Formats: sequence, structure tokens, C-alpha cells
Amino acid sequence: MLVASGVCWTASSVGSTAAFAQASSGVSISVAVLGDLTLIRERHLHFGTLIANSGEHTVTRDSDSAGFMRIVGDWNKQVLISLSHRPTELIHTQIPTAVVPLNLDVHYTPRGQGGPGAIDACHDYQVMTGVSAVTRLRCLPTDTAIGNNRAMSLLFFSGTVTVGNVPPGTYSATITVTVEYD
Amino acid sequence: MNRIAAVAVALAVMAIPGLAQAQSSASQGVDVTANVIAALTLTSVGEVAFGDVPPGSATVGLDAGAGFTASGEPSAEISVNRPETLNLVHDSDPLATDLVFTANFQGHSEDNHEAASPVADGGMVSLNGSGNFFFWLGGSLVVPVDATAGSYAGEYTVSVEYN
Repeated sequence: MLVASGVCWTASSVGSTAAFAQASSGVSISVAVLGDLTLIRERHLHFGTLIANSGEHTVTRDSDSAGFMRIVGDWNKQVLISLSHRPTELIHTQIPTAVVPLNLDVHYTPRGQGGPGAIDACHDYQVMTGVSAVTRLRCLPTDTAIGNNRAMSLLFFSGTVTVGNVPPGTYSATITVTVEYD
Repeated sequence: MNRIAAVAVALAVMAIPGLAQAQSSASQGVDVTANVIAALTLTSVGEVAFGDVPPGSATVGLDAGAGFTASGEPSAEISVNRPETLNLVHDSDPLATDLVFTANFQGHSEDNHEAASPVADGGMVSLNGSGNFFFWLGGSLVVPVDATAGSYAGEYTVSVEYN
């Protein structure tokens, strides 16, 4: 009987503290998933047909022959643009020793000023001097639908070649562009 | 408590009737003790915010995540219950597939996350001499390439209990 009484007392003791014998707490876990980041090549950079020994030929950024890419992603997100390299010459496709010097220019649209649709976000170009640049996607195109909360940055390739006494043929270089959310 | 003491005395009298008859009065003391320990609390601070994440994998380290502090009786052993994973739900698209957060949950008796070691669900730890134990929560998730863009969230709940 005493033992039974003791057990009963012990049970009572545990019950009186049960409300404080455990505790719990929570924290928020959150993530914002970004939409696809797409790089669309609209045009290659073409200098066209040139004559040997004709000297310098320039394609400007606003020319229809300039290379042109669209970077499309979520509005106002920062992206890193990286070039594989900056070629300084075009190489004959069949004679590797024959080259045409190239002075490459690369421009991109920076973050611009003002709110969505600010015109300078699509037309206020900035020079990329190295092989990478960081910008924000703030250009809202008027000529194509890219979806809600989406925007883009534009990338242009232009430059000057100097044609000397070189063999006829096709001269080329390839630049690989990579973009990623920064 | 008074009711229990009375019952114990009455039972003692019934158990030794011979002693009661031999004396005109008798008394016996009974000790009633209670070992009161400090209430156990668990407080949290911070959150695990992955921020903007493109498809792929993302990780939040212990130093950038959330923290928990269990407080109670010094040196007491406590058990810890927590989920290994947590589904994060899209805030506006009920058809979006949940993202799975995998927790990196570690603890230490001192407030030093660099010395922490993993604490499993159901694991036991001992509060330090001041009655505290510290936990840190980081983790990782994988965002599939076809994941619906937008905000996902969930609440990660940890429970502790005296053993």
C-alpha cells in the first residue's frame, strides 16, 4: 500500500511539471525561385564581302550587320555576362595562318534609370571592356512579348576589321557568351 | 500535496496496529519532497532565407541560417525532435510542386556554431552548466528546372523535452 501510495505521489509530481517539460519553436524557411534565364542570339556579326587590301571596315552597334543577343529573365534581376574570350583576329577557315585583325566592340544595356519601361534601360548602352559585365534586366521590349515580371538586357557585337593582303576566303571567329543570375 | 500527505499517514497507521494499541499516542513523520527543475524553453532567432534562386541547388550555411536556444535545468538531458525535411509551398500557385528543404541541424553546448555537430531527430543532448544548449539550422534545396517561379515558404518547428 505504501508503495502504491508512493507511485501515486510520483505520478502527481510528474503531472504538475509536464506543462514545462517540453517546448517547441519554429522558424521560417523561404526561397524565391527565379524564372528561366534565356540567351537568344538574334544575329551574328557580319562584315560582309570585303576586298583584299581594302583597309579598315567598320560595323557599328546600330547596324543591321551587328551581332545582337537578348538576355531574358526575371525583371530587375542582376545577371553576369561572360565572354569566352575577345578575339583580336579572324582566321581563314582553311588557312590557319591567314588572319584579318579585328577590333571588337561589345555593348550591353545597363540597368537604366527609373521604373519599368524606362527607355534608357533598352537604349542606354554601356561598353564591355573585358570579358565580363554585370547588369540588371530592366528593358521591357515593345516588339515582343516575354511574359509577366520578365525583362531583358541587350548585347551587341560590332567592330572594325583591317583587310590587308590576305588570301581570299572566309575568315571567322566564335565567341561563346554565358549568362547567369548574379 | 496536502491530500497526498494525509493519505500516506493514514496508511501508515493501518499498517502497524500493534504499535498504536501499546501507546496512548504516537506520531511518525513522513518526508514529502519535490524536486522542482527549471521549466524548459526553446527560443528561436532568424530565418533560413535562400533569397533568389535559379533552377539548381542552393545552400544556406549554419552561420547564415536560424538559431535555437534550449534553456532549462543545468546539465539536464533533453531529447530533440525535428523534421529531416520540410516541404516549401508556393505562395500563390496551388498547383506548383513543393520544393523540399533538407535541414542541416547542428548543436553545441556553447554558443559556437563552428564547433557544432549534427543533432538527429530523436537525438539527445545535455544542457550546459548554465542550463543552455544551442542549435543552428541551415540547409539545402534543389530547384528543378521546371519549377514554377515565385516565392515558396514553410515553417520549421523544433521540439525539445526533458528525458
